[in-house]
Amino acid sequence: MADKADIWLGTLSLMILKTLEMMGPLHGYGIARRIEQTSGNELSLNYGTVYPALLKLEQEGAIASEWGVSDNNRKAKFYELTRAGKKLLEHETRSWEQTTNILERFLRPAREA
Amino acid sequence: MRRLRALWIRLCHGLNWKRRDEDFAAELESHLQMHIDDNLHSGMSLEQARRDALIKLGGMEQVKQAHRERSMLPFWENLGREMRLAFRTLRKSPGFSAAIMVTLVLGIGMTTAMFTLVYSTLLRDLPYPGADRIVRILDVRVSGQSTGMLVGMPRFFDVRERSKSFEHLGFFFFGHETLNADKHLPLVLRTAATDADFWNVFE
Repeated sequence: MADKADIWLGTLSLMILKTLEMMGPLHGYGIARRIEQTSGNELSLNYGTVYPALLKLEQEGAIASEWGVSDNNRKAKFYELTRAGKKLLEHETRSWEQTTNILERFLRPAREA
Repeated sequence: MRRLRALWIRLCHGLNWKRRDEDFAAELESHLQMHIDDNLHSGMSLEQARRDALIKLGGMEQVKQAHRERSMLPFWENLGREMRLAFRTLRKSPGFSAAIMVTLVLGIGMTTAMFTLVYSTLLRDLPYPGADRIVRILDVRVSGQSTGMLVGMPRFFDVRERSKSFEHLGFFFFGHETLNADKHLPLVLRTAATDADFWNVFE
C-alpha cells in the first residue's frame, strides 16, 4: 500500500511541476484545479493532496513559494518553478516516458511480433 | 542531494513548527475562500459552496495532518510526545521512579567499577616497554612442603644460571625495616630488595 501511495505521490509531483511550467506562478488551489481539468476530469483528486506534494517539492528545492494576491483579490500563496525544478521536470519527464515505453512493450507484445 | 536537502529542512522544521502550522492554516483558508468564490460564481448557494469546497479538499484535519507529517519528520514529533508522556508517568508514581533510578544508578555504577577493576588488573598491559613479555615466576610445589609460592634464593640463582629463555632475570622481596634517625622517633619502613638486573627487566 505504501508503494502505491509513493507512486501516486511521484506522479502528482510530476503533474504539479508540469502545471507550474505551463502556467507560471500559481497557488495550490489553481494547481489542483488545473490538474483536474487537464486530466479531463478522469482523476478524482482530493485538492488537499497537492499540499504535501507541494511541500515536498519545496523542501527539495524544486519550487519556491511566496504570498501574493490572486486574480480575484484573495491572499494566496504562490508557487513557482526554480531552476532546479526545471531540471527535475526534464529528468522526471524523460524517466516517466521511458517507464511507460517499457510497460507498453510488455502490455502489447503482439505489436512487436 | 535533493533528498538530503529535504531531510535537513524537515529536521529543522521540528523547531518552528508552530509558525509553520499557522502559515499552512492561512494557506488552506485562502484555498477554501477561492474555491467558495468559484462555486458561488457557478451558482451554488453559500452553504453549498462551502460544503463542496470542504469535500473536494478532503477534510481539513486530514490535510493538515498530512502536511505536518511531511513538514517535519514524524519521528521528531513523536519523540517529543513520547518524552512528555514518559515524564508525566514518572512524576505520577515517584516511588516506582525512584526505585528504577536507584537500580539504574547502582547498575551502571557497579558495571563501571567492575570494568575499571578488570581492565586495570587483567586487560591493561603493564606500563613498560615489551609489557607482554614480562612475567613473574612463582614456585608451586606438587608435593612436599609449600613455599607459599616464594622462590628460594639458591633456586633463583640456579634458574638464572641455566635460563636461555629470559633476557633478564631479577628478584625482589618485601621486608619491614626500622629507621632510627638520630633524635627522631623510630619509623617502620616497608622496603623491597632487588638485584641490579631487576631494573633491566623494565627497560
